[in-house]
Amino acid sequence: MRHYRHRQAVTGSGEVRGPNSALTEFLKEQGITRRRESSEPPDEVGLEVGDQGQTSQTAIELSDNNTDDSSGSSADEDDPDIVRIRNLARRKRNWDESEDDPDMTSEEEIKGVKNPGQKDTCAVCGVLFVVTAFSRNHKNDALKLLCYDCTMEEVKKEKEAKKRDHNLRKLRKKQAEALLDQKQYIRVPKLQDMCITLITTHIDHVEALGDIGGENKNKISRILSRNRRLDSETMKFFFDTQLKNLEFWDCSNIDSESLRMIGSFCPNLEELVLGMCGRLRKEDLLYLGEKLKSLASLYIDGAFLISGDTWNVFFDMVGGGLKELTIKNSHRISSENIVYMCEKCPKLEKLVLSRLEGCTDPMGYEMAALTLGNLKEIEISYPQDESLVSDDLISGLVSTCGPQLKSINLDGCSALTDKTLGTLRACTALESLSLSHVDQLTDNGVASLFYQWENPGLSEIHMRKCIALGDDSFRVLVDNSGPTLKSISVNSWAEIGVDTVKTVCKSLPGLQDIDLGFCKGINDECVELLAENCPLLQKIEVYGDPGVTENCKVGDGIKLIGRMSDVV
Amino acid sequence: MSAEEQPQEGYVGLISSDGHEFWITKEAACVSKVLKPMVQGDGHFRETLDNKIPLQDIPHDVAEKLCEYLYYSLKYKDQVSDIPEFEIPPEMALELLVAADYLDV
Repeated sequence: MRHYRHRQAVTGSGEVRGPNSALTEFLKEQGITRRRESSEPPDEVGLEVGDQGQTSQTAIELSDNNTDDSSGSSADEDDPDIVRIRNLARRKRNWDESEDDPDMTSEEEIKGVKNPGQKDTCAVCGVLFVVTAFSRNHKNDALKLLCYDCTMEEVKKEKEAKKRDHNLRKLRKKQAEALLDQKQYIRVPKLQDMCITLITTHIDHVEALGDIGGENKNKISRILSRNRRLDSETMKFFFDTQLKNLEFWDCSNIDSESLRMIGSFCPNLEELVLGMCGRLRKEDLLYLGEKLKSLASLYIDGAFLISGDTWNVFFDMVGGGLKELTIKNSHRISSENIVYMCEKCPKLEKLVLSRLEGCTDPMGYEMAALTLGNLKEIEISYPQDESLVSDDLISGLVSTCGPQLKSINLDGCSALTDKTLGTLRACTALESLSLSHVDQLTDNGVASLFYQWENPGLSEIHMRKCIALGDDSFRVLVDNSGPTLKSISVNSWAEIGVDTVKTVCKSLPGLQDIDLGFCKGINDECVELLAENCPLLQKIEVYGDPGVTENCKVGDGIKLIGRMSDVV
Repeated sequence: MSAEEQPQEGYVGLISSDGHEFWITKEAACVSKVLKPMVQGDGHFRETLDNKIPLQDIPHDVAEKLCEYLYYSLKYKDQVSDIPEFEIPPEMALELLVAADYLDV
């Protein structure tokens, strides 16, 4: 190292190099220069490269001849950056080794850059000052230094710029996060949200605040659930004897006694939602069944403590009036209970049976499919075993109530095959179809359902993870339902490509959201085509699509979610 | 406000249920998605011509707070951090919520 530096010093060509210069030299010999500002014309860059190559060659030749030369590097002197780097390196070295390398100092003085300890006039304010190692160079003229005050000024400016950068980065990050949460990032909070926060903090005294509308009450209830603030105390705010509709999406903090109070304080309830109600006990459910005479719609999620027998008693009590029933996440309700329920609740128009681990034989589902003639919406999803829901079961369901069904959800019934799709053709009133994770479906099956299907068209189609489907299915599906389609998920249909998107995007006038996740063929062009051709589009999901890059341009009104280049 | 003292160009009046008038800039009014078409509309709303927007169910104290919020929102919409808190008296929260819901702010 020492030897190398010495050689450089002998050349005296102004090519005095610190440790960095070795790299610079190498890069220069390879003809690589730093990227130039875009304002400079490109041919000049080429010239620059040539120039510098030339110069370094000159320098080497000169070093061979061992001649002192101070003008050979004039081409470099023109480039303020190179000069600046060189000066910095020079000053740094001098600071370290000025004692054992005295001849460097004289050279520096010739160059006009003062060393620490010497006096100089400030390039900005013209004050005479003592140079220190921390003195900055003037930003336009690298050979001039700044006094302490001006240096501080400079440092302050840099800090501010850094802070601005940091804030911008933070903003981008927040925006990306909000996008993932499917929310719009708003910097100034909405007045409504501020009010609701205020109300929830003062919830204990809220009775004094007077009455607000039912819609606002449900909104507050949802917000409380989301913030996990709904408990035995706050729930009292919602009680009202005239109340028809109550939604408690998170009951995990409400004890069993308080749950029972719903029955005594709101006897006129028609719709009741109890989410995450793991603390609901047998007595509470029966009390509710006894008190809520006009209950028509019930949603119960996660009632772990309710046994099969209790369910039967409960169905005895309320079954006659029930029109909508949702039971999710329970391992104690069995097939026998479902059979009993079908018997007791003949008026059901909507039935959701999701993730019932206790139903281990197909009888319950079969009974539901064959006896409930009034059904308009049905969901049988994620059964304990895929064999419980078979093609025959679906053809039974369709023969019972097919023509009037508006919504069918068979997510996770992976034993179903193309035969099911064929039978669904009889459901001519269908508006919403969900067949996620039904992975045996093929393009032929989808064609057998949608090709020239005489129906008014679907508005929602969710077929995530139907991995065997591709271009043909997408086309035939849009041919049939394109004009009415609002929401579609073709997540993991690996084969979809640009050509298909080009043809289908023209016929989706009402599309609002589309999930294109894990479709390998999707790229920027596809997304832009959709954004241009679907005027109502609000949301595009592109998780796991490497083809969608940061260059993709969508309008302001459209949320593009899951792009790999978005930083979080 | 009589015809002689017509307000400056660029202002719009909000009239509370008890007859108070609040004159705010059109820019501030456009923070509300409900007021925006009334302010910028192409003649479909009578409010555009009159330059006055009646807020039938909103009393003057709530309307005043609303105007305050419209300016607050306008002022800080491009600021990333250090946004001061907007103060709401608790007793006004429910009324303000209903009004905010109406104006979609």
